[in-house]
Amino acid sequence: MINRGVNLERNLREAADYAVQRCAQNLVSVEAVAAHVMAEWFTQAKSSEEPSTELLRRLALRYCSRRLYLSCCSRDPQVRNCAFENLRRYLQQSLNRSNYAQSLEGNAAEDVLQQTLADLHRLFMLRPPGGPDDPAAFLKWAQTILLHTAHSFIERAKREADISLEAQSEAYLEQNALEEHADCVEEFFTKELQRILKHAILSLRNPRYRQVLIGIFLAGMEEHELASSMGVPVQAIYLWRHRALKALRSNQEVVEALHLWLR
Amino acid sequence: MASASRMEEITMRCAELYYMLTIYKRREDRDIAYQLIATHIRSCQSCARGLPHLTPILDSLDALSCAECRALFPGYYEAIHPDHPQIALLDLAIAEVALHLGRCLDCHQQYAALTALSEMEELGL
Repeated sequence: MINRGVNLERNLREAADYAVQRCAQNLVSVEAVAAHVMAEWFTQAKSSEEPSTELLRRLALRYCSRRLYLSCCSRDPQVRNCAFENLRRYLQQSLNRSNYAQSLEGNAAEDVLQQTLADLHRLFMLRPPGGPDDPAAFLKWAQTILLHTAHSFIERAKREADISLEAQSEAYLEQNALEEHADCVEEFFTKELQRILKHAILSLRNPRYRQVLIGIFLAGMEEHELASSMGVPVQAIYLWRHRALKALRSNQEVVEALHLWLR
Repeated sequence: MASASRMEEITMRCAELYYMLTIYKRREDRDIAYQLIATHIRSCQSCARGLPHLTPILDSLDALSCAECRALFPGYYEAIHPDHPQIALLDLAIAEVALHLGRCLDCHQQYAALTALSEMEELGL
C-alpha cells in the first residue's frame, strides 16, 4: 500500500515535470501541476484503480494546456510573452515530430510555424479571445491548426510542382513542334531541289548525260554501279558526269533555278 | 494468440457495424446509424481514424465541412480515448467526424498526424 502510494507520487511528479517542460515553463510549477493531477485523478478513479503513466501525462498536459491558454490571452505582456515562447517551442517540437516534417523543404517548416503563430496571435488579441471552448483542449487545438497549415503548405508545393512540370511539358511540346516544322521545311526544300534538278537534267540533249546525272544525283547510285548497269567502263561515267555538269552550268536558266542550292 | 483473437473480435464487430449500417442507411434512420457508429468507435481505434467504406452507404450523412471536422479533432480524440475519456461528446458528433474522416483524405491525414503526436506525448517521448 505504501509502495503504491510512493509509485503514484513519483509517476505524478514525472508526468507533471514532462508537461511543464513541454509547454508551461515559468508559467506553473511542477508541484502545482502534480497536485492538480492528483486531485483530478481522485475524482475519476474507480475503487483502488491505479492510473497509467500515459493517463497521468495526459491529465498533466491538459492542465498545462489550460494554463498556457489563459496566459496567452493575459493582458500582462510579460506573462503573454512567456506563454507565447512556450507555445512556439511546443509547436516547433510538434512540427518536427510530425510526419509532415520530412516533406517541408528549405524554410517551409519555419514558414508553417510562423504562420500558425501569427494566426493564433490574432485570435488571442480578440476580445473576448478566440480559441477552443475547452481551454484544456488548447494544445490539441493549436496542433490541429499547425498540422492543417503544414498540410496546406505541402499540398500547395505539390500543385506548384505539377504546374511547373506541365509548363516544362508544354515547352517540350513546343520544341518538338518547332523541330517538326523545321523537318517539314527541309523536306519541302529537298523535294523542290530534286524537282528543279530533274527538270534541268531532262533539259540536257545528250541521253547519256541525262542517264548519268539521274543515276548519280537522283537515284543515288554509285559510279561503278551505274557503269555496270550501262555496260560501260567506270571512267566513261566520270567523263560523262563531268561533261553533263559543265553543260548544266552553261545553261543560264538552270543556274538561276539552282542558285539557292549552288551557293 | 490473444492479439489474434482481439483482431477477430474487432473485425467481426466492424463487419457487423457495416452490415447494420446498410439497414439503417435511410435519412430517417440517421439517429440509429449515428448511435451504432459512436458505440462502435468508442471501442474500435481502427474505425476511429475514419470509416473508410461507408461513403456509398451513408453518403448523405456526411454533414461536416473540413473546417468543422478539424474543430472537433481535440474533443473527438479525448471522447473516444480508450483510457478514461476526458470529454463527453454527443454520438452525433462522433459519428459525423468518423464519417467525414472516412471520406476526406486531407482530414484523415491531419487527424492521423494529430493522433500520432498525442500518442508520443502520452508515452513521454
